[in-house]
Amino acid sequence: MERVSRILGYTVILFMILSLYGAFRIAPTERIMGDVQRIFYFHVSIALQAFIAFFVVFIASIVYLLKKDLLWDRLASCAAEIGLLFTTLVLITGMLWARPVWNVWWTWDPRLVTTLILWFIYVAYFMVRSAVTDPGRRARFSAVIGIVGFIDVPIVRLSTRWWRSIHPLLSQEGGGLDPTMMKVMLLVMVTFTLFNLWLLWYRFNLAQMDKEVEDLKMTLEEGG
Amino acid sequence: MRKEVDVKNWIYLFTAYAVIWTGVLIYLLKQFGEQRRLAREIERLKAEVKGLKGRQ
Amino acid sequence: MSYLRAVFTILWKDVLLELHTREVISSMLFFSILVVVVFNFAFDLRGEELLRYAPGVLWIAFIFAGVLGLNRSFLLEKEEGGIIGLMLSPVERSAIYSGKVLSNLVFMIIMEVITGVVFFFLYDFLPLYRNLPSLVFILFLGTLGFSVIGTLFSGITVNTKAREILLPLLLFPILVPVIIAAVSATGIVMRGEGLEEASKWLKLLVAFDILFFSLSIAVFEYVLEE
Repeated sequence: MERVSRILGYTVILFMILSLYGAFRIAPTERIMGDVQRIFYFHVSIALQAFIAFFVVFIASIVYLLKKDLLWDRLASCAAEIGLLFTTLVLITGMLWARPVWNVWWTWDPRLVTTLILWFIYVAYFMVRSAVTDPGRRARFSAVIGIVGFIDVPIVRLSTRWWRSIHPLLSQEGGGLDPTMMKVMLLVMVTFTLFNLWLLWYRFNLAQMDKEVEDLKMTLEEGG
Repeated sequence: MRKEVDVKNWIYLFTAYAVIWTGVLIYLLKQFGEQRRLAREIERLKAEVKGLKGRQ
Repeated sequence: MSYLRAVFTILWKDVLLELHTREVISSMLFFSILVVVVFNFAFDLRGEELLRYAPGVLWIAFIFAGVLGLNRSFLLEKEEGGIIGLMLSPVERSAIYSGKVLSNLVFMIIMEVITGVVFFFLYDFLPLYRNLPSLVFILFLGTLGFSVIGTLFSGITVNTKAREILLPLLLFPILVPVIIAAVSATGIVMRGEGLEEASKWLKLLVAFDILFFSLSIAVFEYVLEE
């Protein structure tokens, strides 16, 4: 298992180098937005992975409530942590893109608001986790939040879109993407999917080790 | 309808990638450190458990 | 005991308790009126401004006051050991949830109506009564959404270390759709437009209420399980 993880890790590094090369060298410079458009490839890929991570939280939370195996709680919390990391990066890179292109750091566009709300929900998820000591109870509570939070996302998206529907959106992406840009985009997306997979695996492994430490301590206490 | 953008905006691009990589690196280094700590801890505890079993 | 009877017994229990202690509604009401008054100083609510800000001010007052009430809802049970009695009783967990949703809804509606009356007198605010039935309908749907999610989450936060502070942190992000829909619909009605103009917001509120009520019914047993 460890070897598979290692191979996957090296693959990620290789793909990451290719992606960087693709985003900076192969992809043409966008005519209107200029170089800053090169944020796009990584920004969108990370956003997608954040969403996938939260989807994993959602599924793992449901499975936990059905099976009551703390393994699923560990998986959910690891995925939530990675999702939160990615969401933070998406928000920051998004602002750095918005500033030169739209001339503002932030705009209340539905996509931006939804990402921000998502971030709030999963920060609260971890605040609840750290405020409950009993593992079973913590798992049940966070599973409920993981499920409710994920289902809420499309509704937030819809409501924020209706809310600002009077204004023409600033963020209309315009026509289709240049084919080379599209290819680079796909490459970066694959890279980050692999990265997400590896990261989740690695992080989950750590959570399992943490559990093993707890178990060993318990054995020692019982014996001693 | 898009207004002209100052195309010399590489500083934002640079900052964005710097943020991504520092963020990811800090996270990864934290995890690597954690893994080493846990591995050592497990080894130590396993040895202790063995010693305890031996005495019994 | 039939399911519905269990739900109404719990509602009735909460109402009786409130009649005795008069703790929850009075503190919620006092707080919501205070919010309305403080907002007056912050925004200088007059004329045009008043009509523009009134829906937001009212809903913020309701929601902040509602959080106060929710914090009490399970805390009273926990402090007096009532929750153990409830859990030992042969009642389904989801019935406890539904009863609590109803009692929170009832308390909040009472608080909201009185706040509305006070608002009318303080600001001489006629638009509030331009289309009263529609307004009450929106109030009901929005408050139900608040109560549905709020009751579920207060069941969670009451068992944590930092319950008073955690509840709004958990609640507000999830409630964003309710807040947007309720404030927008209230604004439409206050401007004198018909309820049809607000139909998409009403649909959103109804969908939110039904979706999260059924979901909470399904997961609440895990919140109360010991």
